Parts: sequence; C-alpha cells; structure tokens
Amino acid sequence: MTHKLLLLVCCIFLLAGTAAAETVPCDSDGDGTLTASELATAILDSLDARFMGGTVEVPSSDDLRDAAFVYEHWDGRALTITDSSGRETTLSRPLRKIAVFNSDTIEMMRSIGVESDRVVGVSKYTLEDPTYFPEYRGKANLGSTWAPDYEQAAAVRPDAVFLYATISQSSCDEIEETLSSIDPGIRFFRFDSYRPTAYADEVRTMGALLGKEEGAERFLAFHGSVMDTVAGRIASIPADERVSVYLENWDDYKSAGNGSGYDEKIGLAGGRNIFADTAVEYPAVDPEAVISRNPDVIVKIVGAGELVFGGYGDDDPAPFEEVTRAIEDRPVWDRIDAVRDGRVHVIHSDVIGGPEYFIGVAYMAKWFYPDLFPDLDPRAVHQQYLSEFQRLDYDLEEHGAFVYPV
Amino acid sequence: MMTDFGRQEYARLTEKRALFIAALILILAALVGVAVTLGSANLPVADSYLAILAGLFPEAVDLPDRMVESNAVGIVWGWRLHRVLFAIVAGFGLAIAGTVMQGVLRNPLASPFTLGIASAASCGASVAIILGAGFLSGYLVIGNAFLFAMLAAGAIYGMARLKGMGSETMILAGIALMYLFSAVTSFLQYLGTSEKVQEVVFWMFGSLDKSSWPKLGLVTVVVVAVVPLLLWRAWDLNALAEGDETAKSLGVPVERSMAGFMLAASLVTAVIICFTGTIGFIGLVAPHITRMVIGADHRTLIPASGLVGAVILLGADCLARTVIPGAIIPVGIMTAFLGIPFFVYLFMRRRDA
Repeated sequence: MTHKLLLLVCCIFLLAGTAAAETVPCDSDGDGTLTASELATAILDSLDARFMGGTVEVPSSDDLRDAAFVYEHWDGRALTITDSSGRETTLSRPLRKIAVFNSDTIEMMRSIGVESDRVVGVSKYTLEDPTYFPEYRGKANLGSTWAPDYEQAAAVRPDAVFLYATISQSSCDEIEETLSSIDPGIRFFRFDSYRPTAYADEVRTMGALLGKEEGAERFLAFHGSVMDTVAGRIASIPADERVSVYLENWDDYKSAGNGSGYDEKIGLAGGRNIFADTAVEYPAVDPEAVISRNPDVIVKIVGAGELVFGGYGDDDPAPFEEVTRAIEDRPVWDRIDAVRDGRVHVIHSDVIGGPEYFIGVAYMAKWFYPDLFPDLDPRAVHQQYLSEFQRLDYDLEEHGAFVYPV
Repeated sequence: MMTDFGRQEYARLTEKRALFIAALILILAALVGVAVTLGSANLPVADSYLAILAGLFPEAVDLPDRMVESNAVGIVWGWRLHRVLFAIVAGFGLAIAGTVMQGVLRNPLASPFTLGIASAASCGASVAIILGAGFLSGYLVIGNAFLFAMLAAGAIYGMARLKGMGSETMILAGIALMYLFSAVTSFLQYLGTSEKVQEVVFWMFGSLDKSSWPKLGLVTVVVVAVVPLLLWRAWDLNALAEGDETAKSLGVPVERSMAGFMLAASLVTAVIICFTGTIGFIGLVAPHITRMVIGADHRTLIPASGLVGAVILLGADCLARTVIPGAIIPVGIMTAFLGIPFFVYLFMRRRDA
C-alpha cells in the first residue's frame, strides 16, 4: 500500500508543474500589446537571419506565425473569451489543434469557414456521417461524450477541446478533469451549437476565438435574414389566432412539452404547441388528448428511433409518405382538423434538431401560414446553407429527403 | 481430535490455498504489466514502461524527444496507471463485499445487486443527472450514488435489526428495494431528455473511465481500512455460516456481527460503485469461483476472492480497451461477457465430478 501512496505523491508533483501565464509572442517590450512595429521588427529580424546571415536572436517561425494572427485578428492583444458555460479564458496565441466532441460545433465551425486542418480529432458521430462531413474522414476518433477515448484525445495533443455547454454536463466535466490531468496545457471551451436562443452569440464568439470574424458575420446575416423574416411576419398575429400544432417525434405519441427544444421552435415559427402545458420535456401523450385538443397542423419528426430514413444519405421520399398515411389512418384521427385539411407534415430531424433548426423553422412557418410567406422558399434557404456555408457539393434537387409533402 | 488423515488433508488444503493465492498474485502482476502498455494512443511498449519510470524519478530518466512529443508520461500517469490500479482495488473490494454478504446471509445469491445497493446507487445517480439535484455540490452524481447506496444498506439493515429479521427476509427486503429503486430510475428516465437518459444508461453500464488519482486514493483508503477488520473477524463469518444457533453457541454475538459485516460490505461497495457505476457482477461471481477452488474458510476465502475479483476486473478492462480498436466497451459489460462463461464452466465441471 505504501507503494500506491508513493505513486499518488509522485503524480501530484507531476501535475504541479503547470505552465505559467503566457504572453503574446514577439511582444518585445512586454506591455501586453503587440504593435505594428514590434511585429515588423520580428519579421525583418527573422528574414535577416534567414537570408542575410543576421545574428540577432529571432523568434521561431511558430511564434512569428502566431504573432501575425494575434496582430491581425485580436489587435495585437491577448483575447479573453467567455464561452457558453460562462467561463472566461484568456488566449495569447491562436488555437491550431482543436479536438471537438460535438458534431453540431463542427458544423457551426464550418459555417463560419474554419478549415478542417485546424481540427485534430472529432467525435464518433462526426465520423459516422461521411456524406455530411467528408473532410473529417480519417481524423482521430474521440468517441462520444458518454464514452470518450481519453488516450486518443491526449495522443493528438490538442491545444483546445470543445465540449457541450448545457447537455451531458457531468460527463463533460469529467472529460475536462481527466484530460487536464493528462495534459494540463489543454484549454476547454463549451458550446452547444444547436440552441436557437444561444446560436447567434455562439457563432460570434467562435468567430472571434478562431479569427473568423468575417465568416461569422456573413453567416449571421444569412441566418438572421431567415429568422427575422419569420419573426417579423408572425409578430402581427395575436396569440389566440395562432395555428395550433401537435408535434410528434420519431416515437408514436411522444410529443414535446414546455421548455423543450421543439416547443421553442414551434413558437419561433409562430405556432401554438397543444402540449405546451405539459411540464415533462418529452411526454408520451394520450391519443385521445390529441383528438380533443384538435390541432390545426401536425408535425412529425423522423430520422431517429425506428424511423431512420431520409436525411442527407437517403434519397427515397416513399417512407415519408407512408408515415403521413399511418398518422392519417390512426383510429378517429380523421376528426382532427389537421388530418381533415391535409395539414400533416413530416420533417427530418437533421433540419430541425441541430444547427440547421432555422431551416426547419422556415419550413414550419410556411406550413403554418402559407399566405404570409408566399416568397419564402425553405428549400432554397437549405440549398444556400449547404452550398455557400457548408461548402458541400450537394444538390437538393437530386439528393436527400427532408420534408413531406414537398 | 484430529486424525492423522485429517491433518494431512488439512495440510494439503493449506498448500492448495497458498498455491492458488500465489498464482493469482502472479497473474495479477502479469496483467498489470500488459495493461499499462495497452491503449489507443499506440505508445510503444518500452515507452510505456519508461514513462512510468520517468514519473517516479523525473531526475534520473532522460526522455527521448518522441516521448515528449507523444506526451507518453502524461498519458501513462494521467490516465492508464490510475485506471489499472483502480481496476485492482475496485475488483478486490467488490469481490470481498460479495463474499462477506454471501457468508453473512448464507445465501449464494446475495450480492450488491440482489440487495438493492447497486440499483439504489443508479437511482441516486439518475436523480443527479436528470433532476440536477444532489447533496454534494460539484460531485452530484458521485455524492448521490454513494448516499443512496448507503441509504439502501441502512434500510435493509434497520429492518433487520429492529425486527430481528432472518437472512431470507433480508434478501427479500433487498429484492423489494431493488425493484423500488429501479422503478424510481425508470420514472426519472421517463421525465428526462434523451441526452440525459443516455447519460444515465452509460453510468449504469459501469466503467473505469471515471477513475482518477484522488478517487483511487479514497477507494484504497476505505478498502485498506476494511479488509484487516474483516480478516480479523473471519472466524465469526465461518461460525455464522454454520447457522445462527451454532454461531451463538460459539459465542458470536449474531445480530451485532451481522450488522457489522453488512455495514462494512455495503460501505466498500458504495464507495466503489459511486465512482464506477454498477459493476455488481464481480461481487456475485468471484466468491463462488474462489469457493469452488479452495473451499469456504473465510480466512483465506476473503483475500483470495478479492484477488480473483481484481484479476477478473483488470482482465476485463484490458479486453474492453482492446477488443474494438479506438473504442472502450464499458467494463461492466465486459466482466459479464468474460466472467459468466467461466463461471458456468466451473459449475458444469463440478456437477460432472
């Protein structure tokens, strides 16, 4: 047993030697700000040393590269970033080797133009979706938040690890604790990258963090134009005239209660969730309750559970139609207005669950109020998102199945 | 009075026990040697050992550049080593807890699972994960799991002491508690979002992923404190195994020592599974395997089944980390895959004889 104690003590000593506070590279006067002349001197000195046989002590090429980034993107000063968990981190160098446990964050990073070579490891879910994340094929597999592969994560020597902010909190805390005991130099950042209320802020923060401010603004302009159009036009509808909506996920009769993500998205699209009074986030509801609450529109989500079809990797729309028929054929459901008026819609979780939620909101807004949105083309929004922001060679005319009826 | 034959027989048994324990220690040492070299970081075998030395004697070892580059010392010391040691301590602790429970209750089915302790821990963890409620801020999951496990043990125990319950009734009460806590867990899962439910499910698989040096220290302290106590009272367990009347006539205070043993076993179990999730299976199987080989004398049964538990858990963890490259199968699943066939094999063989 003394042996184990000895190991313990040694380990504590081992961990004690964490790095001291860093300073901005090439900040030769040490005032915390890298000025144009400091950077110029550093560059000239190193050119001199390399080509003219100069003998002044010069910064390494890594230092020089990092200094140029800090000067260009952060005004020559260390940057303090507040992530979605409220934690502040100060960086004096750019992040070049990032391990990302959250697929939604990978997508958000791509939206603002972060190059895939700055990512050294991704979650197994990112790797399992080569149609959507082709450029991440072959990256180190970090496992999942619930079953992380610590050795792999440490072996790729990341300078930063991105984790979820509000879901799987205890698992993510656990990952932070373990990884920093392996390598105390790793910085951690928390982003959800799928929650509508936080999405725009997260995009902006990510832009500043990774030096993609312009990409972030360009994406936010696009995203904002969709969300603002919808919000602006539904604002005029009084609460009691809003379309009532029954939302069902991939499990039959499993709806969305108060405060759930889907409840929020129905609200964003101008609908009134008929089960918004349920405190359980994802309640299993009584079919009779749906009949008696008589929704104007039914929205069914597919793409998970037993209804795995559609999305980016599957072009066949037939199962969507089957699902619609099955809902219409439920006993006595022909009395529901939504069924009688042919307003049963099926949507794939890819365009409503994650960072593409705004596409789903556009679809739903158009379903709820077709007269208000004659000019809104959700599919064109989707295509623009894929081509311009995800930089994917993917044609929605030919591939994928996301909604029914189209 | 012992006959010569009996004496010989006993000497042979003693020898067999010593051999068995020695063999287990050798196997365990070999497993440790293998385990520290396994992992998805793909460090060369020599680097793993050198990293251990470098951690112990930072001055004496001159690290080659490739090891600085791969952070071999960080990986081995920050991750592998405490995990390996944790597997040993946890396997040891769970196995002796199971041995003691089976001995006290004179029932081969007694284990942290059947007594509701494991499902109480799962229930506590679910409360923390899904409702975000708990008693030990910062360590909600661990704190709740421990507290609920002790609560279950206390409940069984309170009933037993107050009402003078026999061992069968105690087991029945345990099974009832298990169903109650499982129902609460299911209800919480019904309330929770799919992410949280998944987190609960992963917690319940039982895994060594959550090990760390401080946790290892804590578990070691508890196990090290409890084992000598149990060994010291091992005769009482032998007497209890013969029945309450026999034990009483031999001067064993039956109710009090049952209470003590159950408390010790529950404490060890709770302190381990609150960190690992439910790896209850070892507590059931290790004592059986050991008893089949060296008999039911608790003086040797306790340490030997502890070693068997350590070997099973460490072996299972080695496999769990290597069977699917790049993925770690939760060790709770792996122990069952590994232990049950072996257990059944031992059973069948004994029946044949």
